[in-house]
Amino acid sequence: MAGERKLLLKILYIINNNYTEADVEDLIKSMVALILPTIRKHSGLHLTLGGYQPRDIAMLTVSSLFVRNREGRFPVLERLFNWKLTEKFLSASESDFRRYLKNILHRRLKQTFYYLSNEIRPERARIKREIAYALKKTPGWQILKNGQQTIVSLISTDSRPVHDFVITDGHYERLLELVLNNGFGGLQILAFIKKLNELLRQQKISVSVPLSHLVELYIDTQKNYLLYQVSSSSRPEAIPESSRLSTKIARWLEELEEWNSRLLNRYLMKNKINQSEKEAFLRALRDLFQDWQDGGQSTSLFNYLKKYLPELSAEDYRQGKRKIFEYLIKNSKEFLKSRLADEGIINSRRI
Amino acid sequence: MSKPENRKPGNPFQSAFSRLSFDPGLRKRVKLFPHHRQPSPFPHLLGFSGLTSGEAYTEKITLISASRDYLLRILQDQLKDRLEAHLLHPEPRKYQHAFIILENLKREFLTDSHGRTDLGPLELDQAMLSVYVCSPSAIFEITPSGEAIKLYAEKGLETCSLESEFFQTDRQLAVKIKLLNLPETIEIKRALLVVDDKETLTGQPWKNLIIFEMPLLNVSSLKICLYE
Repeated sequence: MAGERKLLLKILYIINNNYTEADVEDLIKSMVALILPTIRKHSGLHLTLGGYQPRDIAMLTVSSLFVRNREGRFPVLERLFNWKLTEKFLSASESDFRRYLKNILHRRLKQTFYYLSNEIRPERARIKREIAYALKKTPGWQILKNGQQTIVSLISTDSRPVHDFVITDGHYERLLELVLNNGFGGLQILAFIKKLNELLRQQKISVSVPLSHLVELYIDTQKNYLLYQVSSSSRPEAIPESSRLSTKIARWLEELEEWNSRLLNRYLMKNKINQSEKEAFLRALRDLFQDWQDGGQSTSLFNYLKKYLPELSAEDYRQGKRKIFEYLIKNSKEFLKSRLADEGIINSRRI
Repeated sequence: MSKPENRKPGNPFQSAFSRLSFDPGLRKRVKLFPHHRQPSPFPHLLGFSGLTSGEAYTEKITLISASRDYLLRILQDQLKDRLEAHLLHPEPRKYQHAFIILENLKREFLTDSHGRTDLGPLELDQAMLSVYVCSPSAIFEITPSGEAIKLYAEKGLETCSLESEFFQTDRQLAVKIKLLNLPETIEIKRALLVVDDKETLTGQPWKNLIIFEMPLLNVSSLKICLYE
């Protein structure tokens, strides 16, 4: 995409409330063009979304950013591209902005899939047909008719059952867990079956299940992919690195939450805060960490906390809460910095 | 701010993008004409806001619809040097949450539940002024269980209904609104979500679907207004 700076300027016009409808239109057009290839890639998964075409999904994803409030401002867009952040991008490279924009759009796309989750309709007959075809094309699979049922079995290449474990009808959950943990999301049917073949052989597992199980396995895997994984795997140039890192970050944030919860328990025991305030601190921290991942703190710390403690006055915050909140944030920063330094992502000498 | 526009006529994508911006505007709108009469000595009494004394206001322009149902009074707040518009109509649903369109300025303003809106520090040239009003064509109330109750629907939209679905995470509350049974001849250009009678969010439905992310996690009342 050429002209990231132009897009950035249009965003700036919008967040400064100094835009024309043509600016809005151009921005929508660019965002739709940016997200459309990712959506088109998913259309090969044979999951239709309530009859919506890829372009409809793109428009729905982008349109939710352009909902206006009473003042004609765009609260969702302004949350994602706050002034501070946009200003930073003005002096950064265009590729940084492009990466950020793509990341935002992919996250929004995942959200759109979530909103449309009740409307996901798998094309079962087509999936079944293509799975049967893929099984015939992939060596090592045996398809047997057992009355009304079609049973699919994985046999060793020299026809001897040398596997350590056999997955049958009752082990569907185990099979699903295997594919979910091994990145089968987003694969088209032939690639899915080939990869399943490789994985089962590697792990010395055999299967003997009805064909319908494989159909459900494929559907469940791809649904899970659309709802939870689209953003991390939709950047082909960065799949291994970014998905590994995002998994680690998610784990660190879980650890951090536990750690912060323990710290807050001490304040709770000393009656400096109550249980609902503890929950509010944790939720406000969660929001702040999310914003850190999205480019930076978007509002004052007071506002982060006030969102979950609507009655909190500025005076109460200054007197009783600010110190606690700032202490938690300082510790959290140190924690994340040390983890990032351990991974070699940032220089430990700068800490 | 005006910038040169480079549009390819007849491009099917273009119309789609235009629909998500506020161009082109609302179709079902009522034109207002200047209403020449003796200015009221008490401008604050009509279109009463209950907030400021009469001395603070001077009357700028009064406009009226051809049917004489709508009356729009534009007052100047002397203290703040801003303009305020007060829309009046015998039926509250016509002045509440109505769009006031200043066509020559390419600006739109939404009235609140009292029919009032802040126009800001605008320069109005009465001779050039072209003003329209667009009131909701249908109004629904969304109950906490997600049921949509039709409060009002204009002719042609009697069969129209809504389906709503809530999505709550610890960070936000979103509502998905699907418009059902819309006659083919009617196109809903805007949907307005009124949260707790205070905050409003306006968006354009796409394929009769619109998703609103709400500014609050706890809401007690939700209303949807549809505009053609």
